[in-house]
Amino acid sequence: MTAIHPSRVNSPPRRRRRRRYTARTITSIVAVALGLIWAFPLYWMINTALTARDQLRSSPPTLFPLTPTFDSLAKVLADPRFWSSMAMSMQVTLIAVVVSLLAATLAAVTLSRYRFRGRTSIIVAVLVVQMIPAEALFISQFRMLGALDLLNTVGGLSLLYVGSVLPFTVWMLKGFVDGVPIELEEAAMVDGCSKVGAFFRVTFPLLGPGLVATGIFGFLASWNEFTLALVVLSSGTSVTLPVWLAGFQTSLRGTDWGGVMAGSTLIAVPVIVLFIFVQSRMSTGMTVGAVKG
Amino acid sequence: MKTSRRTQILALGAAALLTITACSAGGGGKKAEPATAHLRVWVMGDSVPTVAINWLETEFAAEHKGSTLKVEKQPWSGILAKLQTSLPSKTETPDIVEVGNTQASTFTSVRAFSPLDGIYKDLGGANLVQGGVAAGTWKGVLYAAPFYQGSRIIYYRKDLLKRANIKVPTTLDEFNAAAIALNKANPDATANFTGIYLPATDYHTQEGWLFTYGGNYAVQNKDGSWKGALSTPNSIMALQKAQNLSVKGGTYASDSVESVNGAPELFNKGKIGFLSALNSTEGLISPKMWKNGQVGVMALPGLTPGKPGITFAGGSNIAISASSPNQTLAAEALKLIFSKTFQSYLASKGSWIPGNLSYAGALTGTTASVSTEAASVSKLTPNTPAWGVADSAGIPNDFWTRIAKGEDVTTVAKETDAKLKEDLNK
Amino acid sequence: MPSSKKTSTSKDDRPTSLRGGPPATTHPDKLVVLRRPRSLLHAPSRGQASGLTPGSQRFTPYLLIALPVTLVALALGYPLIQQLIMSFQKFGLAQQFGQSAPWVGLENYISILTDSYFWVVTGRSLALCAVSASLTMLIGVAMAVLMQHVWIGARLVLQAALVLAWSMPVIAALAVWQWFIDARFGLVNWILSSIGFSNMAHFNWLQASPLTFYGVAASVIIWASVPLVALATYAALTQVDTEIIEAAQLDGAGLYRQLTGIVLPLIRPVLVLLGILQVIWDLRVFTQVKVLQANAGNSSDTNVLGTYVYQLGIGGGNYGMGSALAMVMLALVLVITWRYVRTLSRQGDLLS
Repeated sequence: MTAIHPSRVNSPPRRRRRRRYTARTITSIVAVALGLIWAFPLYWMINTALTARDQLRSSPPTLFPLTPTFDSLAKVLADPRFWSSMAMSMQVTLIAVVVSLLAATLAAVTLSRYRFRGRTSIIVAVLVVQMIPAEALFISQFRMLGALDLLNTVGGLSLLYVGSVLPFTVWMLKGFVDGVPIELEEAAMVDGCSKVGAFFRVTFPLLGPGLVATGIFGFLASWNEFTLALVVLSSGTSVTLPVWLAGFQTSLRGTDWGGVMAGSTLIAVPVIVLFIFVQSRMSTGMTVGAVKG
Repeated sequence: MKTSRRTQILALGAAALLTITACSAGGGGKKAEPATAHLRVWVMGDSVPTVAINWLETEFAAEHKGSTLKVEKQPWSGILAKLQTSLPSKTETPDIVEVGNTQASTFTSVRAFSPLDGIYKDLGGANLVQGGVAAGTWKGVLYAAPFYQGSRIIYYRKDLLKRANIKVPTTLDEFNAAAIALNKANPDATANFTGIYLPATDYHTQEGWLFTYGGNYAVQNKDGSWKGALSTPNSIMALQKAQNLSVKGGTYASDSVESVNGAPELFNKGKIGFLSALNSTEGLISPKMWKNGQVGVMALPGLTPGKPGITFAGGSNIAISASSPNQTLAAEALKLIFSKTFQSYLASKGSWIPGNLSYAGALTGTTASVSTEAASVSKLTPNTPAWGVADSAGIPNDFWTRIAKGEDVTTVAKETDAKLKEDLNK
Repeated sequence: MPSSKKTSTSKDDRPTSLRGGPPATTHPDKLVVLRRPRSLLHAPSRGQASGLTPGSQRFTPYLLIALPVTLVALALGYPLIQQLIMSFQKFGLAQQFGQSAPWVGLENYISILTDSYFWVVTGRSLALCAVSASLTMLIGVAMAVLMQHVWIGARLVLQAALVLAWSMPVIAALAVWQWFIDARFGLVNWILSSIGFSNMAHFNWLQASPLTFYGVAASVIIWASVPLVALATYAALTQVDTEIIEAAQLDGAGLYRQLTGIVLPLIRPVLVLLGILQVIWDLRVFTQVKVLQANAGNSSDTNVLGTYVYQLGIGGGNYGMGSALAMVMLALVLVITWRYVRTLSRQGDLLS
């Protein structure tokens, strides 16, 4: 029934290991190359942030800022509205991410581990609600927030972000919870844990990669969102970073691209920090504590 | 047990929905206007110089004890969405708002603004830029006054014209001929030289030709409906001359919007003979070229010597929001905005043509007089909300691109007229 | 010992954690898939998971699900109902400013569906969506698989690059892409003419033809969409028990067979969701096409549903029409994804 492939038997261990080593190295080079290609526009963004205005559109293009000018970056860093926008974006985004991850975990566990009437409807709704285009939605969302007196508040905007991010997050996390065998939780409960305790001891740590992927998704969806932030935070309060960034584009006098790129570069910094913070949790193996045969 | 729990949840949800609906539907009762208030003025990012803002805020607070005024700058991106949600809301609306003059009719037609006829004289009366007044008027009532304008003027290389033995043009026909001749002559033998920089994406420049020769995009019939006017004899002539210029007058006809922003750099590198740009571009042209007397400025010439051509009136209007609870105070603030001090700041520090032309004397720089000259005869695109839609749908952009590419003028004009007739009468 | 319970294909509303695994299959080359891969599809030996005592546990799911449902109902649900209602009304800017909104029934829908231009635009959108979504999924999943077979340093570099590309603000990204393909000073033309294609020196990618225009648009869309697919797929891949893969390897299955036979089917829910999301987003794409159109001067030739909705909706303040179009697009997406939605509503899950 199960045959052992000849190649596994005939090649000596060392050669097999060397082949795997070379294969890994080749794929690693490919991966790094792909990464560089994908990040190239970012390089160009930084390149532009450091280039003088009159050299932006030179032909042939300046591949490397040989005479870098830090004026654009300095101007952005000195702008108090940049810092207030940064603070506002941070607040809104962190609240949105934390609340959505919390709520989504609850939903994922409920939909995965329990059966109750309406379960299937909610699952279908989670999928379908993401299919509905939201182009004209901001009008109704604005009114709703107005009725709840949440306009111009961090909470109001976060609420809208949570709503838009939850369905995707729930779906992803449900898949992850599905993937953790219930036997593991049962085993922990046999050992004396409560049901909740078993969840936190056993399942929750294994949700790591799911939480990270959806956390990044939620973070970026909120961090870069423009229309709702523009419309909800109408005045008096600070604006979020994307709205602040849009301010560089004037209508009749052209755009200060050095400023836009400098601002965009600085906007990316917290994202890098976030990534460094969470990248160790991007993968967990299933080997720990798995039930064997 | 389970059923009743579900019913409870449903009931709760329904109650919540009903409450929300009720809250959003009803407005408050009519309140009397408060004596003091905190006014909010929305302007676009690059419109008002800081010194003008500071003056306005201080002056208002001084004149109206107990009240304050705050100017809030808005980005152009997404401003339509923002205005459409904020203006109707009694709590979120700004008291005074700036709106681009092409978009003004979108809001005046739904009475988003309060009528200004009462204070028309205080704002400047006949001294206001009439093109801007037209933009802010709907069915005979002025809702939005002209705030400021940018003038499109011509910067040209005096020295190159001299060396190529070309007379400085005084009429539009002479101008066309001069550009074509200069393109051919290329006295400095510069690589990639162009007699005139005329990319299709910068179609507000091309409109100068359309308007000066007596053409137009569309005209309104007696019954209020719109008819495309690109196929009229004047328009066709204008389009043919513009096409001739694009094809024979130089390269760069298909330049992108980004490249248009980089035009001053091209000019500084000596690659352009005639450049159409805003008066504020004065500061972007190389100071050395100014000093050496290489650069001249003029308004786009008209049909007869001495008269300026009719260019596009690009600028903004300013209005009082109809939802604002502070109508009287807002009117007072608006009068301050149209005061000599504020308007002069717009000119001297912002390089704008102020809405009240009598203060245009505050404009500094070589371009001051020609800018005012051009602004006084400038014209707007069709004054209807549907034009804003057509504009953002790219109809003029598409149209001028096809002209610049060399397609048959009559065919393109007819097709666009048909489209305009449909879209403007929706 | 695993029970002999087979998966029922009829309405089985029980959560995955309670159901039996797939039946054993025998592939032509005698590779036998384990009867019940232990980690992803599992069932206890008894018919019901212990720990689920009826009675006291009955309210727990409703309590737990209350918060997420309320948040979505508030932020999305209520506005969506409003949007549906608006699609049956004449709701323009005048209505925003106080005028009442008259009911016009299906008038908005009819005027959209009888407009021949709408069908042209829909065709274009479907084509663009098909190309972008499929390429995005292909590249993304390939990258995710790649990430599993490289040194950790290379993996971090690739992941960091993807996150950074994903995080780039749209304004900046579009500006950079436009500079790349600019006819005069663009990097792409410069590279092409340097390596010998001298006739490409001033090639205007956006204006040359709608095909080249969409080529650029698709590239930008794919570039921006791949990171999510790659990272989410990678997260799901890490959940697949290595034991199964090792067993398959021992049986002589190459990488391709492992992927198509075992791994990808196991992460199907994630892949289906990502695919559906790509279809939705690519069908509705707006900003990228709009900005590129401004440079090309060929808006009417290159309009897609996203820009068309904007034209009808926000551009003119005609939200009734915009809402109707949004509903039409929903119907379109449902038609495309019908098979999965049906499976989902029958089984409560996508693993079949």
